[in-house]
Amino acid sequence: MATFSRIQRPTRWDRAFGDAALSDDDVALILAQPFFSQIDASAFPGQMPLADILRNDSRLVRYEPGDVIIRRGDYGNSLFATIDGTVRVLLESVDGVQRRRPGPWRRWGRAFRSSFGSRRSVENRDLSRYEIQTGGGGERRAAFTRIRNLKQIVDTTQTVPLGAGEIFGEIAALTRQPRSADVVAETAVTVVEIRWQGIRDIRRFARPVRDTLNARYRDRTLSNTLAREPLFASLGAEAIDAIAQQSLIETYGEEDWYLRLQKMDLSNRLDQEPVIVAEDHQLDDVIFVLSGFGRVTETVEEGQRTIGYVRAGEAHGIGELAQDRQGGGTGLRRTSLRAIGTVNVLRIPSTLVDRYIVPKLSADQLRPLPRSRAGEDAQRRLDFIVDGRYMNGTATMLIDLTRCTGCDDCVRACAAAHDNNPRFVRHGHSEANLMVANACMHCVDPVCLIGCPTGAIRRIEETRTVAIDDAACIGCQTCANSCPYSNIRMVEIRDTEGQPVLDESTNQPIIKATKCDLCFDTPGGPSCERACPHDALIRMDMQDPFSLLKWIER
Amino acid sequence: MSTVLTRRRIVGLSFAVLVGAVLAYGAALGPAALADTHEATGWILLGLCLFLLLFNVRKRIPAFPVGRGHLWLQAHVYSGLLAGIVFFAHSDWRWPVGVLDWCLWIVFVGVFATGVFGIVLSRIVPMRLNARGERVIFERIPAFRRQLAREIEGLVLRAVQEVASSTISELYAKQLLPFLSAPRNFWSHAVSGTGHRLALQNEINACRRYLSTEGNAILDEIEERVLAKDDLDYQYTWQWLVKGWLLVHLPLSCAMIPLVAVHVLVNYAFSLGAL
Repeated sequence: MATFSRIQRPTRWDRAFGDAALSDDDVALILAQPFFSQIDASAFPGQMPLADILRNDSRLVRYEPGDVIIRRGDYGNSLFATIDGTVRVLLESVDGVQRRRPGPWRRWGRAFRSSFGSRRSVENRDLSRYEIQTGGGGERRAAFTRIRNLKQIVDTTQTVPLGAGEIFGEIAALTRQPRSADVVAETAVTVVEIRWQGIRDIRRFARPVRDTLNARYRDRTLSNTLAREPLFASLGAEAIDAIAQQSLIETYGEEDWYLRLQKMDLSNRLDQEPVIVAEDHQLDDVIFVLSGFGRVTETVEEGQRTIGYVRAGEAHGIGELAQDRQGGGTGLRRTSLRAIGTVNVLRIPSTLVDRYIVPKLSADQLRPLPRSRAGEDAQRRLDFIVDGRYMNGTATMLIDLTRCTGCDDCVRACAAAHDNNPRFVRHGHSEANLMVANACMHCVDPVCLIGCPTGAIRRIEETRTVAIDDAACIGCQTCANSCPYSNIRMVEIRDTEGQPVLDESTNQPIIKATKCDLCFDTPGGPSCERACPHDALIRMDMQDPFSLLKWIER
Repeated sequence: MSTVLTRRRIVGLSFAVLVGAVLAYGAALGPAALADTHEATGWILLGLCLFLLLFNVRKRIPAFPVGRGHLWLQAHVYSGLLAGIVFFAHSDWRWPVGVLDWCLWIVFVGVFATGVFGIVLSRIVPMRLNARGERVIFERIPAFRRQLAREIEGLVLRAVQEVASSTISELYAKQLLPFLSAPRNFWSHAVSGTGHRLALQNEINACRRYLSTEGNAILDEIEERVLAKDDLDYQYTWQWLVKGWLLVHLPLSCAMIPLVAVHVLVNYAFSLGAL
């Protein structure tokens, strides 16, 4: 007779956001804050009361003066509200907050060590770098980075103070965009931090919160975001404000798509991509992508053919609308747009487009995507890129299989530059003669950053490279599990003598996340690309279809 | 063939041949002008050989920004071609005389020939690797081979248990087990031959008449894996060639260094003696 193990069915709040669920007093303290006091608790359903959401999806954090609470460019998934004390929003980039590329001397030094150092053992680490550095005490261990000259920064750069009761960080948490500014504790400060799952539910049942957050997004962020985009660059402030205020902000797709990408069935992938606008429907708005990607399809007999994709900063339907207004259309959409992963869009009514955008469109902005000489090859390649979501990469490792001999010079070069252990696998999915190797693509939307508890994995502002700060990595594997392309690997580290490093309490090996860092800390850039003797390997920005096509057809 | 690559090859090849022809012509004119050009061509040759060796040095310092690998390879190839022309001009297009010169000649020609082989290989290997089976990483081939062997063993055991077939187990013991135990048919794969593959399929098909429908179904699965193993051997052969030719080219290149040094010393020693 078969035997079974029995456990309680896991539920959403089995694991609180903080070390433990908050007490009733903590919840009461949060509910007394101005942002939360407007919420009507009776609007929440019985199985999901407001108090339980706050108890489980939030935590109280204490920061000391100078502690970095939010770092510009990081991917945050939580909203903060100050309970006491003051924080400073740093509107300009300042030293000491951002992780920067090492200077030229350090880069040359690293190149020298990697070229002439020992090749005998792998993943050696100087353990003195792992000495624990924590911030102040309080309810939870606080920031890993503290800046000491905050007063000088406040005096010399543009900053905004936020006092008790203010909220911040909501835009990045709700739109999955990188944090747009650094936020530093000016005094000792206690903040409540709510993860996005909690914000999502509060927004759903508390209309005032939803309205407040939407209004803040439109007022604080949207106009500025639009003003930076080429499509709106020639418009005046009044036009941009009108578009920002009168357009609909919508989100499509699943927030955690990246956890399921590899298990997704290719045969019905289109069914899993929500339709944003459908072919043959009235052409009464233009979809502007704020973040994420959309698949553009057209109907072919009983199926859908992918004819392109749109990315953040691009609009779908603008060309069709312009043509329609010139008398060349039917008033109906000729293509559909579907959400690939999570997409945030701005639905701009055609009246606004007609009034403000169409008259300012240049020929370049109406230029269609490039088409390959070989039509069928191009179609298969496009399907391959979109289905695999490789358009997410800004430095995707592409290998031309008509030139690659498998000599492994790229692998050896990578190993030489990275502790004698290559940071990629010269293998991956391929379409015809194009292989996408298993190397970090340095994504536009780097979902690996979501959930990193220490901020060890982050973008380097100067190069836009996604890199891991080895000293801050605690080996939790969150990033490796989140990477939809399986391009992050956990390695067991060794000390400078080549001996394995173990946890002193459990005797388990200490592991660290590793991935391609585009050799950002060496003087020459990616070693793999420079080492290839057959010109078969390139790090390609997939945002630039023209360069991709040029390389393929060279 | 892409236009950029074709243009690059034409330019490089033309440059090497043109410069080589000029040097060879100059060396040939030397005796008529009562000038000894051997010293000049010798030093040019030595310079070219040192430059050729730098390619390997560049591979060992990948973190330094010292030019892209493919440009170095282009320079290596055309310098090698030029070195070949200068070498034969330096030796007056004649057979060498003496043990030392013979050794040097053999080693240089060996390096030159393996270099040409390497270039040809680098042009045909990508096509060959794309032609059959999936491109797999060389170091993982043994693991894939073991996996296929385990799967086939499992199918044979299934055939014995489920259809009580000894035909399949005999085929396995006599033909398949040796085939699965290591990479096979190296030379056949190296010439892209398919004779051994057809022979294997014939051996398998010859068993079919003795098998039931169920037995044939199992044999179909075995045949699928046998062909996969053959594809794996094919990948192994060509990837081995890519790595293996360097095992000749590099040692010969290293062996040339002391021989050239001795050659220079001996020649200067004798010329000083003559003075």
